[in-house]
Amino acid sequence: MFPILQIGSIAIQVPGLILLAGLWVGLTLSERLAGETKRQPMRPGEVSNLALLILLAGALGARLGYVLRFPSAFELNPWNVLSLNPGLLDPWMGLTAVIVAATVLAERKALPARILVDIFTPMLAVLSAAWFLSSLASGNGYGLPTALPWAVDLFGAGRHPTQIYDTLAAVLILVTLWWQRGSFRLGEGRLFFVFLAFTSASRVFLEAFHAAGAVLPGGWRANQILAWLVFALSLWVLQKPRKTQGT
Amino acid sequence: MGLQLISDVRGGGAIRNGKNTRAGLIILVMFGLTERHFNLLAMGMLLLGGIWIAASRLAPSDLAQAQAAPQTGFLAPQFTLETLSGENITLADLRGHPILINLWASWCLPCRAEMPAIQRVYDRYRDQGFTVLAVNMTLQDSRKAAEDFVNEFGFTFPILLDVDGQVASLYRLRALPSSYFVDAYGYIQEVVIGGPMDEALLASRVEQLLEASQ
Repeated sequence: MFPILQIGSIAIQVPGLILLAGLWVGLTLSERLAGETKRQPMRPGEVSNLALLILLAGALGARLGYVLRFPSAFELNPWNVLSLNPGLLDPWMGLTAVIVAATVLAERKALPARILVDIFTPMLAVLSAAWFLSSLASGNGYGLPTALPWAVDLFGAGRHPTQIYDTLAAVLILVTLWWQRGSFRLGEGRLFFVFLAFTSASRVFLEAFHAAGAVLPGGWRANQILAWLVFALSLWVLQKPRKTQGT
Repeated sequence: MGLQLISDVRGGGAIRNGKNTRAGLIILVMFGLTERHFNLLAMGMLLLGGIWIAASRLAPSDLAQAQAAPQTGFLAPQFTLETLSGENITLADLRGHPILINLWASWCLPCRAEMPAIQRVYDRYRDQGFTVLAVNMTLQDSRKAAEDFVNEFGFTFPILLDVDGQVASLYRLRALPSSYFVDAYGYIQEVVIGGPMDEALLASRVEQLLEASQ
């Protein structure tokens, strides 16, 4: 755990720093992927602009969702609606806003959604790895107690180092997809759905070692069930016959 | 139009007639499979996933973290401290009340910035059982400086003095301010390291604590 980096009187939130670095690396890879296509549906510079617009829409949507969820919390100081605090965001509304913004922007630029998701897959893969690494820094997402030799002593017990499992799996997926990107026809959406299939499959497996997370009656883990559904959806999309290309 | 623009990445490893010319990785093997084999493999993986989910359900004993640790999901570490007014407060005695434990020092600027917001939120929710324990890191501060700051702003919630660093050690203090939102059952629901916290953040977290405590 390394939640704070103290430089003099300045305390820097390490998890936030890791996510920002992940965004930068991810955008760089996505731009590179866009630049590697023979005929470029998006210029590399456009990738960053589009990503920033989508992220901005996501942040606005997430804040709006939070205000709608806790309207009375903003009565004490309505200016807090403009606060930069990331704790005042609703993730599901943020995700909805990202999807809506991406759809609208893609339509305006006459870009099929399949191209958009493929180009942003490297960014998503890096952000996924960065997210789990940031959990390692913050101490969130800790594992169940275990007697395995590689258990880490955390919060009074030897535990599965779940943040390390998660980060390694995400890095493995990123490296595999980046290494094999030449095998995908960019724009079919397959790169994205393979990423989704790999990531959801890894979540189904690795969530079993987590101690935290939403639990449904009977001890069922909500994250595992959600991941299983996403895995099923990805496989369903991937098994559909590939469109033939006329070029 | 869109599909006309699509081209192979790096032009390598082209996929022709539904078969991939490369081999090796699982995904490519998957792509090289016939539709029937792919479907069988997919069904098998989904079935295995379902069995794994069922097998890894949490037992009731796994659901509650019985030990205390300064982390979300664990019992808040217990302590007894003297307040500025000279009385002793024990955290365990406040079981049944949602609590904000705020670790602070008078020289810490974000601590000073968020204290008035904490007071406003305390004023608003204390009738519903919410309370604040503002633990001054007296070992790194001074009782006089803490007292002057409290008097200047007229804070009415309990100000506790961590004279020997007991709480700093129990809560593995890394930075000031550090805040712990504890529910009525004594479990930490959220940890906020650093600050200052906004009123909206404080109020929404307290509302969640109150809701969970009912």
